[in-house]
Amino acid sequence: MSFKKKFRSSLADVFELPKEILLDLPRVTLVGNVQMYIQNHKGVVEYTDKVIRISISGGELVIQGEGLTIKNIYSEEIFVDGLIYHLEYAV
Amino acid sequence: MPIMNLWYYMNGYITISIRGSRSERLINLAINRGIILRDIRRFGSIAYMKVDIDGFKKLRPLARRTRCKVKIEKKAGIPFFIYRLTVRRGFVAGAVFFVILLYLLSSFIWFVDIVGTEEVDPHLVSELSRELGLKPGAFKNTLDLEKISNEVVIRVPDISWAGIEITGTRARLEIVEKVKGEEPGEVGYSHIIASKDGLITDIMVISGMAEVSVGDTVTAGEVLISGILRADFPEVEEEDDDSEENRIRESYVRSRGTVEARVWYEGSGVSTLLEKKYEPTGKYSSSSYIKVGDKQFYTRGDGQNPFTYSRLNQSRRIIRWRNFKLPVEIVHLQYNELNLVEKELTHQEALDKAVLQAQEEARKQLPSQAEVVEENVEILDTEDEQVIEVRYVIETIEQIGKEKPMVLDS
Repeated sequence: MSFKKKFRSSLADVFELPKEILLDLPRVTLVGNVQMYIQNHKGVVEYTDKVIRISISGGELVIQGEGLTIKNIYSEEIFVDGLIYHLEYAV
Repeated sequence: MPIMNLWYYMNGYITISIRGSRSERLINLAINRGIILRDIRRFGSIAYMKVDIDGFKKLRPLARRTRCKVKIEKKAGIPFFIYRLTVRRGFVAGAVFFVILLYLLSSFIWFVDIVGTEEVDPHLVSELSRELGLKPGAFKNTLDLEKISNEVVIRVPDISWAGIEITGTRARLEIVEKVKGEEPGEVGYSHIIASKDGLITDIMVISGMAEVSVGDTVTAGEVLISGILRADFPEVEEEDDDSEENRIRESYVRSRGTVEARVWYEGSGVSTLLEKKYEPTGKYSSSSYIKVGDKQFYTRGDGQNPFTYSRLNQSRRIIRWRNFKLPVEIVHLQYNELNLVEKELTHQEALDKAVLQAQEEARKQLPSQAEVVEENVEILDTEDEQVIEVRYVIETIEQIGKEKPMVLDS
């Protein structure tokens, strides 16, 4: 981790600021295992109805499941629908 | 989200299919350009998604750059629907024609109902309303309803009110007929008779002939004011004895007037100096039994009365379940012993008692609106010293006139 990131992380801790803004991290919201909402993504790397790979800062978010659908996609947000079995951060 | 779906439908959207392994790149490029993609699904190498009309136009060059084959699967939404309508002009013209026709037809009157006729011939009224313009085929907006209903009232003398109400294509002409007054005939003639016995104090005749005068004593049913008027010309009567002529000189009216009379109401009371009275001694004998049908089963006592003088209190309880009455009753009997007490009254006490009794009896007969003039107590002579008898008389002035219809022959 670079000095800049360390500084920002400690800054976020001290002032209790949201880390996704200061550190450019994705914010992931899960509704059970049927809906997923990812903010601050960097694009879709791969998608099929079994696997969706989403690029995030410093790596990838791999969603595995069944009948996966990208319900909506905007430049900052993705809604994913379907049965989610597995969630992995590939850094 | 049905509301969002409605929004998408209004703006129109295209379902497209993308063939090619690089479709992820196309999506990333598309969202960077601000193209909104929805419902992205992938089956094997084909990806399906929905995109709005503007987005689709922007998507074309990007597809070429990423070498993806974009194919339109389905067009949906109002913009495409309108486009299709402009292609099928005849269909649209037919729909518009239908709406206009429906509006035109509903602005005519197709039915005229006439309500409320009893004596008046409804055909006459419908004939008249047709003449005035209220008929099947008339244009609703041009009818002056107030004028028509006024005209109907004026033209038909037996109608006192007419109103027109239009609901849809149905006009309802409601008429109210004049209620005819009772026609003067033989039925209308009447006497005024006395409703009760009395002494006439005042008599006022409005129509008819007085048969009694002030000071007369009348009995119930006597004619006070006669409805038969006789011309009183003695000299003419002497000359002409023809009974036919006599009858012509008699005329009949419905007699009216008020008759006031003094009316008496009497009550009598008796009391004795030795008063017998039953007083409870406090002793009692109680028994109870269960009654099933006609049979009685005593659970306590035997139901016999052990006392010479007694009063019986009976209470029964009917066993019921909801609304169903069982034919079983529980009856409690209680005989309270009474004692005969003889009490010596003074003359005044006995008198007061008799007067009170008589007064109560007289008051009972008094009609509510009678005006009481005088109240008298009369002590009657009795042979027995022990017995006191009084008469209480209430004198009132009240209206005793009562109309009675006269029945005439021929």
